[in-house]
Amino acid sequence: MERNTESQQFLEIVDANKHLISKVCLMYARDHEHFKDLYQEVMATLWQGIRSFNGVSKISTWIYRVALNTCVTYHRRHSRADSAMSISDVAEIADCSQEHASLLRQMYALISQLDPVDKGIIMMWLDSSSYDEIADVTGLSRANVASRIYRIRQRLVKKSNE
Amino acid sequence: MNTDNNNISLEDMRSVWQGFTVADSVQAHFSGSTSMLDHRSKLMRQQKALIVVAVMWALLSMPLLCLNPAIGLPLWAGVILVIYFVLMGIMSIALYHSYKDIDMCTMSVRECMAAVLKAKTLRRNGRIVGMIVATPVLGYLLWFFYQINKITFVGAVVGAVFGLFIGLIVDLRMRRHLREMARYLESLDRD
Repeated sequence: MERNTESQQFLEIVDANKHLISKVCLMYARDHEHFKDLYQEVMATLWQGIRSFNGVSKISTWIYRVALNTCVTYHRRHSRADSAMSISDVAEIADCSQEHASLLRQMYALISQLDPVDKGIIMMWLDSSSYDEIADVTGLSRANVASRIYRIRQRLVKKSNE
Repeated sequence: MNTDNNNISLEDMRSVWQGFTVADSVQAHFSGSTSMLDHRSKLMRQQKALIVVAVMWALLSMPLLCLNPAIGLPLWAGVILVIYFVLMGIMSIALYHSYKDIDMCTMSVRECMAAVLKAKTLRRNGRIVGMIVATPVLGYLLWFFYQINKITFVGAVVGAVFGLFIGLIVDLRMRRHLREMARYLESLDRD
């Protein structure tokens, strides 16, 4: 009975945060198949870890942590030289307006050049997560997060202007 | 908003990130039971352990049994043992992937049922191949140890019984996981 309630809660949490999970997986995926693999992997890890969620942090922060850790680990284990999804694939997958699709392509092209950890940091920053939340997820100090975000932003701006 | 092809500001990026969602047609929908995830994870974990055991024995059989002067198993028997463990390793890797392919996020119930059935069939075939290769090898090994002396023979029998017992327990557990998965999927299909 308790297990059923837990399962029900889990499914509700997953449903409420499916866009977040999908976006993180999309940023680390090589193609559609890889995207599905990542999604499945994140789901399995979330379910295994749901009991360890103590409610101290926000549920979205916890999901970010699990999703990023899973994707980064998966990426390292199965790393390839051409690890980014083709930009046309990204635009196909994303559900957004024509104007946003063009910007999304540019954003994806820039972010896909970052290393896996920096990718996670900037994703959270783009999502307006606080430095404390990013530090909580990545295990870095707040100061380190701040300086890394500064460097990543500089790099993105430079790349964008090239 | 800047839509210039060569230039995107960080604020634009932020609004894009917060504004886009993954298309419903592409997004993986998680409709499977969480117990399915439990069974699948356990199967994959157990299969991974079996891969390690198979690789370890494929590497150790020759040095431990043939090249060790205290035992001196004939080379041909060692080669057959290595072949057996390599076969088991390959079968375990195939089984691991068949469990991995059971994808509750993107597959329909029918597709999941087909994937579970495929894993079950592969497992059954693997067991048949394993038994065909293992039975004569085990028989020869026991006969070989019987030739050395009685104590070695008793040790070998105890080892074989212990090994078979552990194998049986692992096998029953895996069968139970697959049965539970199939049962759950059948109940969904009936609904």
